[in-house]
Amino acid sequence: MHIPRYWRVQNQRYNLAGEICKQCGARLFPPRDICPGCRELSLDPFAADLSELQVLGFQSERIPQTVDLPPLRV
Amino acid sequence: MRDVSIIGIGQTKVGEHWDKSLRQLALEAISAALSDAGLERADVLYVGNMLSGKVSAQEHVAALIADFAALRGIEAVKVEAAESSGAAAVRLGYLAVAGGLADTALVCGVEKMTDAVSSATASAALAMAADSDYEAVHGLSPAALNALLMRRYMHEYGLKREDFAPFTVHAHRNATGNPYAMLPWPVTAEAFMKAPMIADPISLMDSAPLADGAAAVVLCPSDRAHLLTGDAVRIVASAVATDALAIHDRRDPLFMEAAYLSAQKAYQQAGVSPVDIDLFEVHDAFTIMAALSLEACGFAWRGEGVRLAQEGEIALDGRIPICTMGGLKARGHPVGATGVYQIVELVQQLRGRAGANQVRNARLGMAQSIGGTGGTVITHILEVP
Repeated sequence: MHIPRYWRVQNQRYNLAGEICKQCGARLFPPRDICPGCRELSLDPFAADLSELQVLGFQSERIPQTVDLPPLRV
Repeated sequence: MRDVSIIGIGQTKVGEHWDKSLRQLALEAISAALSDAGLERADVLYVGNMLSGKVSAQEHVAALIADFAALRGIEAVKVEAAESSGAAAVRLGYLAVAGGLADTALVCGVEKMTDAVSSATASAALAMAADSDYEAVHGLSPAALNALLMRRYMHEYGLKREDFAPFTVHAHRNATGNPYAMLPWPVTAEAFMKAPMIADPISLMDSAPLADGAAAVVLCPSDRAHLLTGDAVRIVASAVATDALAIHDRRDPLFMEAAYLSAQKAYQQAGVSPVDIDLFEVHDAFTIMAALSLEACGFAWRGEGVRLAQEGEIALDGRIPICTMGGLKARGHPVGATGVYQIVELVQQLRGRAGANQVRNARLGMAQSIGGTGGTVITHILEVP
């Protein structure tokens, strides 16, 4: 991916930033520009507290075992 | 609005067609469908395809295929809606004919996955159906996303991996009777349990194979169908609904809201309810997706989609036969073509020409095609006139 794409979401990603809708109180994570529930445009920023978060699922991709190869000689 | 019927079907065998290109596959399906309908051309051509740009470095495929199929001059556009691209093309064909803007519409779904140089490339291409900024960026492939859903589902409803085996065993059994299927051999529940993992808890046996293939249908107004063919099948419902692309943006990741909405719209259009449906071509790209789709469409209570399979209700003589020609799992999943394959198979069943896999007294068939993990869901219901 192009660098600006990471740059655009870095605040959200590293500060766990979300928004709370001023009208219906919906908690939006990640943030949006309009509330998907009530179409309200005013949204208050919040940073998620890690202690509040709950793991809903996880998965592990199977990574092939690495082969021991001698270091390259130059 | 005019009533619309399908008067011609065509399909290629699903598989790894190393000797055929995207345009050749499309031509094969189009020729078969036109000849089945007794026509030489149609007013419009809609092509369903998801990955030609990424995998074959070829966009602008509708005009390419129109030209290659000797239909130069025809109105032709490509439709993209991730894995439901084929069903979306059927939807556009339906709109054109129902709205009176075309008298004959040709719809072709085509995918050429083996043009990808590696399975990693193919997987990255398919991940484009997910939310690029928030899902794919973390390396979540379709298998990984479905693994998240499956683990949560197993946790929520107290299920084990082996509980999903009946979906796979069933799909493969049906594929043995389909000459166009990619994997037409039976598999056992033991083989299911021994299959290598892709993204825990999803194994190779939970997943539909990537494939090449093309399928096509010809549509016309129902009041002219009898002039052209003896065995037309009516489209009594065509409905599309959308949801958030990312599973974290959904109200409840284990309830496919778009599947629910599009099924409800379809039932309403057709004036039927789930108990009236004689067979259901479900989007079993992963076993978990089949379960979630069955639940969202009202064939099972939440958490009980898996039980339908365990109790044999999805068999050809069960309460709601699914994947009657092998489904995505065993017929194969040429993504952008899959939605059209489902429609072709419904027509085979409703015409009473499904051979060994014939569902007895099939009058009403439903197909549901799912883009991504449920961002787009398209439901069609067909009926014997």
